[in-house]
Amino acid sequence: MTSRAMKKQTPWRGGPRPAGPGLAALDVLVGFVTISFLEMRAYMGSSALRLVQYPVKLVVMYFLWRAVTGAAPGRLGLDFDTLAAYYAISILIGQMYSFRRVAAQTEHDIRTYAVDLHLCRPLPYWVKPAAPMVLSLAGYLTLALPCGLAAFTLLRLPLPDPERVLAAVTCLLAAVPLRFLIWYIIGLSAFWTEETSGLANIFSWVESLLSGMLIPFALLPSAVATVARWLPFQAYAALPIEVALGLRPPVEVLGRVGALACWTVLLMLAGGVVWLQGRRAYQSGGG
Amino acid sequence: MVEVRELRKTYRVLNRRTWWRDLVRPEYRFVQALRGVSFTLRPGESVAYLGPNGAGKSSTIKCLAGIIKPDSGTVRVFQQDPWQRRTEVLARIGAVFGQKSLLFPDLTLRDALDIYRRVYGLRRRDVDEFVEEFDTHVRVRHLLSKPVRRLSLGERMRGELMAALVHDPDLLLLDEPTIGLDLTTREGFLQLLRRRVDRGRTVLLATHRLEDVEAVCRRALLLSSGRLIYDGSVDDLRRKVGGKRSARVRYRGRLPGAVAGSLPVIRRHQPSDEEGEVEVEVPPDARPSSVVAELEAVVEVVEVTVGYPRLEHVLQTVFARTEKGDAG
Amino acid sequence: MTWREVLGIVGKGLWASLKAGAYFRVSFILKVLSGLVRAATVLVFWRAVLQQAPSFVGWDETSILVFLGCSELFFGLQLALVSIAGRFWVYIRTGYLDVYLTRPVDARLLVAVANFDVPLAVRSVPPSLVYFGLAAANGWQPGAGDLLVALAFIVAGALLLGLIQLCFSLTSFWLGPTEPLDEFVNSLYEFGHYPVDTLSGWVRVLVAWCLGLGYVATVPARCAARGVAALGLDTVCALAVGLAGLVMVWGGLSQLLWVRGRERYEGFGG
Repeated sequence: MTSRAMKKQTPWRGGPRPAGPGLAALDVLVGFVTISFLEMRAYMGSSALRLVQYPVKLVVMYFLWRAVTGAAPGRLGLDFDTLAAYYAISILIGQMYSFRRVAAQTEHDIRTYAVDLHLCRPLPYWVKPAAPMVLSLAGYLTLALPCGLAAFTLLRLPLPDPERVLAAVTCLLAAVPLRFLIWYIIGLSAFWTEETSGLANIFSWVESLLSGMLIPFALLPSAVATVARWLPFQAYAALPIEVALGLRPPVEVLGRVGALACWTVLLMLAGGVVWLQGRRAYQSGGG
Repeated sequence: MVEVRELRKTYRVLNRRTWWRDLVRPEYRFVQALRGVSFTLRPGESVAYLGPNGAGKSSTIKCLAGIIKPDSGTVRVFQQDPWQRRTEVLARIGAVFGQKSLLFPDLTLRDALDIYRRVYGLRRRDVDEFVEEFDTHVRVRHLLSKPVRRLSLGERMRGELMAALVHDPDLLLLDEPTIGLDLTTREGFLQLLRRRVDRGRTVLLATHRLEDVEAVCRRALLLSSGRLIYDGSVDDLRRKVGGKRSARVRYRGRLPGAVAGSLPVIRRHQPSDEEGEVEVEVPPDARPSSVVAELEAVVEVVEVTVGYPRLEHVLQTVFARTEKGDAG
Repeated sequence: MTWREVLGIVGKGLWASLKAGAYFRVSFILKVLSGLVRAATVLVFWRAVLQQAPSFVGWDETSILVFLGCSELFFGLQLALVSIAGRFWVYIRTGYLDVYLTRPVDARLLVAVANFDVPLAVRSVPPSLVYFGLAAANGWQPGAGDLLVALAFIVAGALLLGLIQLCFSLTSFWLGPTEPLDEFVNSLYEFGHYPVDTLSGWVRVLVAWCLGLGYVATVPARCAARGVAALGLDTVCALAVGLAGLVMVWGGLSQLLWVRGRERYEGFGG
């Protein structure tokens, strides 16, 4: 390996280490991100192929709604093209990143006592599950756009306006910290339950319904739709999709981002409390 | 019991470049893990299989257990080819791979034993008797009802050993079996192994822990870069390599410089005219008593301690020589 | 090894896995609860669909409820017994297969037994009962024979999908990590959540009959909802022969890949 390449991988090599705990933490964070980037590059082929689920899932929903709208034309509040476009985007968002991995990684580290190693480092533990997520999102954004474009073209659907797409992407990205925190807290529950798959399943189903990922809000029972509109989950499916399709004005994103920030702060506090309580309950082992 | 002739195995390793080049036109290099290894094991033998990392120890064990197919050469275990007759051969083999688990994470040790009881067609009473015997050497009874994932490394290793020995195998293939074991448990396990050997079972022990070798094995096979470089007794190995066997002598009086100069002194300490201590290397063909006799002629010998070469030193010497030979 | 011995090992593994549910009680309860939450969500989805079209491509509310019950049972069985087939490549790539190859039993069986998760099958029972209960409230009156035929199709279908997953996984002997293939095969399961009658043309032929995803829930639900007599005994027999054929084809292919792949297997990590 050339010295230039080594410097690229470990930014502090060849120079003095940054002083102070804050900078040291940043230093390690950069290290994590660099390693994750190298890992991502090593498995880029696999990462790209993960989007292979997209056409399969889209075909399933396409045929289902075609059969339903074909059986009762005109009864739906939404026409078939809108529904197809809705699912084309919703499924693409679903392939963004498996946030369950955040919980799974955290659970695994707690269960196998690998969290001990991270407690010895000058960096909060949450960075470990966060780093691969950040990099996967970067990879996803590059690949998702052509995939979406291909889907819309193949299904002969009208393409959304670029400004609306931009607003939708902004909304999606603003919701990422919130999603991360929720799944991180679910992962932390392993301090008490050892296994989090049950809790993760419960949440993922509730989330898929209340975010509009499974079904558009317009088709939900009114009581469920009202609850869903009050919760922040719509920020990562229903709202960006409806904005992109022109069903809601892009300006709604602004208000939602503000609300998201409040939810995120709340969850950060909750995450901190759960982490502290979890550490107290934690019984390390292994050896 | 085990016969290995001219065993060869080569691995193909991908030379990593960019992912698209790896996909379209992969490039490989070939690593020769075993280059014509031959040896035999007789019933009741306990043999150490030693070598530095990457020497081919695990590959040999995997060939013996029928896990991988040799490129050429013959392997016979209980007069059968373990690759062709895997099931029959494995019914009489117990294997431990220290870093890989044979247990089931969500189940208890008792459940794992129950499943293996079915695999080997054992009676419940046989398993109970085995646990009884095993527990007298290695304490496991209190761990039986714990899920494996809640065990510490040392506790899990006890379970691994138990699961490997449950069917009283005729041949034990042990690859780093004492990882994570505390001193008492390790001693208990080695004692159990010695008992098995006394009962006519054969042990092939691949390890980097030479205390284990000294405690259990009489014979050693040394492997370096896929070649067998030594096959003989552990004691012979010490003698042939001629490690530093030494005599440490505490004496009264003053050791004359001329005498000290004529001996191969390793270390000398003379704090006063009244007493001192000298450590002298004993030549491979000499007896320690002859060195002591030379000293007794000039000083009053108070205490003599004879130090034998440690196996670590012996192996370091052998592998260093082999590497030099390879390089040359 | 005789079939009796194999069944003995499988039975012991299932019992041990069920007991493991008791060791991790909180987790087990949460799993059961998650099944009910899933059922509630799925019912909301299908309520929305059926409100728009009370009947489509031969499926009405009652038959959809029966379909959901069959689908739930299928995925419960599949996850509990053979879900590891899709991740078998991990054992090959990490060299963990080594330890399973040191026992005098088929390593594939031992890996499956090591990964049985009976609580997942138990989890699927309450939602299935909810679906079947709602169908019964809608006037569904199944015959015992129809239910048995449906159950047989579900069990054989789970075995078939396990074999398909295993085939893709075993390509890891040649291709290295086959995670993308695993992801692809997993995504095919989506077809098991909806009646394959909604598909059309070559997609239907490929998915429903070549890959056998029609046997996941559509065929069992048809048998249970309409009855074997209404479907016609000839039709059901033809379907059963087709399923047997698929099991033999995929089973044969997986055996071939296993035998050839084992010759290339190098183990890993000492």
